[in-house]
Amino acid sequence: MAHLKKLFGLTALGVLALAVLARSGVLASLFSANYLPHRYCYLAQPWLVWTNVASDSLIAISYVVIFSCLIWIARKLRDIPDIHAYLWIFFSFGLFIVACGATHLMEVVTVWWPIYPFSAAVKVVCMAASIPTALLFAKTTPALAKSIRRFLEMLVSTEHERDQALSALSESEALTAERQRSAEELAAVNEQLNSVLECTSDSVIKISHEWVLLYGNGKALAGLSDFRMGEDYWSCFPAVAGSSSEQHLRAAMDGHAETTWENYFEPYELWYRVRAFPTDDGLTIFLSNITEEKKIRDQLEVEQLLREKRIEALSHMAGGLAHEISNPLAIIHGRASDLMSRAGGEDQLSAHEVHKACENIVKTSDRAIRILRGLRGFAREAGKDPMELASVYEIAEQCIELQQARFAVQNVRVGIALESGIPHFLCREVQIGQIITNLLNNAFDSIVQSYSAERWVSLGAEYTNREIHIDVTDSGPGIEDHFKAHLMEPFFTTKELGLGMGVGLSLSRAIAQDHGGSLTLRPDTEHTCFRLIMPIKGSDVSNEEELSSIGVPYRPA
Amino acid sequence: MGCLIDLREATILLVDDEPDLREIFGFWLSSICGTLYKASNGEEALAVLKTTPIDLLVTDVRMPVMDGIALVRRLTELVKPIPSIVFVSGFGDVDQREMYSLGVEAFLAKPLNREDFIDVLKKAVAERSALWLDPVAATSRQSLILHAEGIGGTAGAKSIRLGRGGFSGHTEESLILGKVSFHCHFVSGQSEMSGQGFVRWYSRADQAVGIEFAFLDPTCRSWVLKEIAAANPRSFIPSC
Repeated sequence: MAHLKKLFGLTALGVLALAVLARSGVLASLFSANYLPHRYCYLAQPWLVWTNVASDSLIAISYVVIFSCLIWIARKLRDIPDIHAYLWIFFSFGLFIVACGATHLMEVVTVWWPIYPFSAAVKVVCMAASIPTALLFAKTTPALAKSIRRFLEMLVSTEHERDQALSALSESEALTAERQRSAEELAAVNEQLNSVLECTSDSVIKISHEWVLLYGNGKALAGLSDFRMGEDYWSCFPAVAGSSSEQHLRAAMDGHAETTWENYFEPYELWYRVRAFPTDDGLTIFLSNITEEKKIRDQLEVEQLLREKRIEALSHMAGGLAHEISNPLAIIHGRASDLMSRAGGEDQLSAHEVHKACENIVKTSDRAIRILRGLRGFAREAGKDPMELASVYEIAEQCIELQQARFAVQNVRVGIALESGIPHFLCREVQIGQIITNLLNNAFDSIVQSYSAERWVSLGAEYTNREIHIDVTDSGPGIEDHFKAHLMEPFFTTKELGLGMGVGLSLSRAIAQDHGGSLTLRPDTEHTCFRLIMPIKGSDVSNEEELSSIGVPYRPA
Repeated sequence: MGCLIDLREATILLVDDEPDLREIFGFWLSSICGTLYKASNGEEALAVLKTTPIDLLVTDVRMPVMDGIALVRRLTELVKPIPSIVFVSGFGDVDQREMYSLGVEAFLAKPLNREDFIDVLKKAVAERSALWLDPVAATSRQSLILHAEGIGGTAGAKSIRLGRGGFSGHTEESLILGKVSFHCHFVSGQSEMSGQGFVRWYSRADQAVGIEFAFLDPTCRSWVLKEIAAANPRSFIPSC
């Protein structure tokens, strides 16, 4: 296009030059009768001369332009190998055109300058160029036509292919868009999933079949400080190896079975509920921190055990109590009914007889009341009682009262050795009573089971160094050395089947510790002796007048 | 076994560890019985039983040194003839099936009425022929029909066993303790045994029941009394 513009520019310049010449008067002189050097050209008619001259000139110029164009095209196309075979057409045609242009130029020249031999020579040259060109062109035309046809066909098919390629491209663009949308959706779902995994209070980790840590949610990364993504599970958590958790994990991994267990993880001092789910690529593990829950559960269990222990002790005593209460009632009933029948009969009752019977009734009623008072405290949940000042004498008396019948039936003597002047102390009275009752029960069982000849239990108390020491000693055969270490463990018992659950001592000790005290087996005594120590805090000690001493020193025979 | 008509002729041993109760029961008994001995526990009671013929033993169950249950168990080894036995208990922690089979006739619960006490003791020493004459006034709530092969241990598992005061047998029916009307059909014999009584123990585990007689139908009365007299069983109600 740029070259065409140049061409038009040149043509315009030429026309402009002619216009300048016309205005200068030169052209006017040309149209006079005297301009021709020889008067025979074109009948000496100026319009004929100028029409020929102008036409020939313009033809010559056009031919030069066409030649230039052909040469220009040939230069441009010479790089294309397929065109090589036809480049000669451009050159020979170009030569022919230039030669033709030269002959037309000579037509103009010869109007004024009659060099006809040169003009003829030019025509010969033109002829020499045109004849081979015509021949060759004629010879090549069929092939050329075929080539052009093939070229055009190729062009069409190429265009078709291009169209196809374009439509394929647009399709692939749609596909790409689709893929991108899918990826976005996937990312959104992933994000949701992540937010679910992140908002759970569980630590979630994923382990490959080769025990490599593949994933951990935020909780896992924050909570399990040894968690390192991409590393071996066992090197991150060496404490798990060899524990029961390892067995569970391997069972889940190898057995492809969902497994749940609870585990105390010592390095973190936490209880976990672990759920392991086998997946195609390994294990997904949910760790719930159940330390708090476990604490509450343990506490509930202890409370439950306390309750069962109390029921057990109650049933132990129920028989003795029923006996103890039915006997006084039988006495009262008998005395009263005798009084009634004799008063209604002919007998004369003396005042002394009535007094004696009534005195017996009152005395016996008191006995029943004392027993009931002891029972009242025992049958109650005491763990939530407020701490109150209590007297060790009163507690001891109630415990002994409660047990006396049982002990008497088995000929077990009860000795009481309470030092005088023991101050009141802050405690849950019922619970301390339960400890002492439990110790008395154990002492009793030990004697009865062993059929000991010597049959006594002693309950002693003393006050020393701001501590109250309450000792329960028995004449039983003693505790074998290898049992001593386990005595305070829950469910450990030396009693015969059905006699004890093995929780009494462990619970008693828990209660003692809850009071800031302790319960131990004394190591240095001849007979089995358990010592309950209750500390006295400054504010516990009430004034001396309140202190009572009902203790009678007792020394077993 | 004492076969007396009246308490006035009976020798009674009273055992209780409670002095006041020994005094009260002793006072009640002294005016109506022949001879009265007292003991404060099983061991003392055994010493008396070994040397003195006793018609009726009235004993507490829970006592120091030797309780009533141990006393009854030892008694069957050491003493003959065995007296009638009445338990006076404050608490029902006694295997009644075993105690009835060892010869205990009645369980009295403290506290108790003088009249009830005397009634039970009278029945315990009475001739069998004086007993079970009158139907129990109130209608029985439950009735039991037994199909037994015979009487006594030899007739197989489906037999009934007679004691001095009742019988035991097997039944698939569920029973509750208390009044009962019973009808026993015997496969082997011609006679039937029917009357009223009290279910004294019932075991679902081995489908066994122990029934104390309260009334025997006149149609069976004479042969049942004859059977009891001939066998002279130690058990009040045998255990199956």
